[in-house]
Amino acid sequence: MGEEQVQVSGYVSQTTKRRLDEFARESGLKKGYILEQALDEFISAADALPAEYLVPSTIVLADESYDRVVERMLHPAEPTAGLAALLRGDLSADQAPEGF
Amino acid sequence: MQIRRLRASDSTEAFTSGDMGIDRFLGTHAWRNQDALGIGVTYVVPAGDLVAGFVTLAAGSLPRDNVPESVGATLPRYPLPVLRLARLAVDSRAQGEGIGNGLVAFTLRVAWAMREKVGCVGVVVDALPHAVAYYEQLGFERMEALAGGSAVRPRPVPLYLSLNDARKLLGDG
Repeated sequence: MGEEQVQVSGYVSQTTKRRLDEFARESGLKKGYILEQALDEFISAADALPAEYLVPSTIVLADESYDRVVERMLHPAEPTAGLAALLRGDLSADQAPEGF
Repeated sequence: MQIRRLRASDSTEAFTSGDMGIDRFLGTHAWRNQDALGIGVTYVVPAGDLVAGFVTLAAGSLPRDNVPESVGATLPRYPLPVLRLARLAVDSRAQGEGIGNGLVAFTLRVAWAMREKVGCVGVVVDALPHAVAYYEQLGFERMEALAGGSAVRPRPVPLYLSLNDARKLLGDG
């Protein structure tokens, strides 16, 4: 006998609702089953540490890039105007990327 | 702008940057990475009980398998220590207020302090494609990474800034 079923409720976007309806219709699966599988996948993934969240400590550079790093150690460039403005605290928000 | 280490008590669940992946990172993994694993430290800009922005930093190194003789004569033959800017995001309600700029400037100052205390030659950032021009205006240069790049999608562009370039601004220049 399966585990007792309970109802959950929550708001989703119109787009997600439409995609759920379409997937259920095309696959023949019940929406409750799809939702349970999706939630199980989400929670399981959140419990683990996905590879995308790991930041490797070592970055192996191509020869040209490594040489460039060394070149900049030995022969520094003048700071850019943007860097100077950033460290003064007056870099314009217009010069920052979307999401900053 | 106050910037401090992430605390267990910080309310990170409400953080919404527009990137679900990075929001999940802050809400689910950042504290564990910092407190239990010690693989990175997240610094936040607190806004009341919420987080307005954050940056996650980690120590890293730049090795090269075959250091040429010309380099070996003037530099040690071991990996070059760097600070890696691994994650940076600003809550959508606080975007446009300069928080991202403040977190980047903070990162450079942490890198300089790291240079003074344990050694650090530069900062590596894994920039999303739309942010590459921003970092380039700060003096970061593109690098080609053969291994160790971020697995985030869309694939970020590894960029590097030498701390020697910023010495006049950060240090004793």
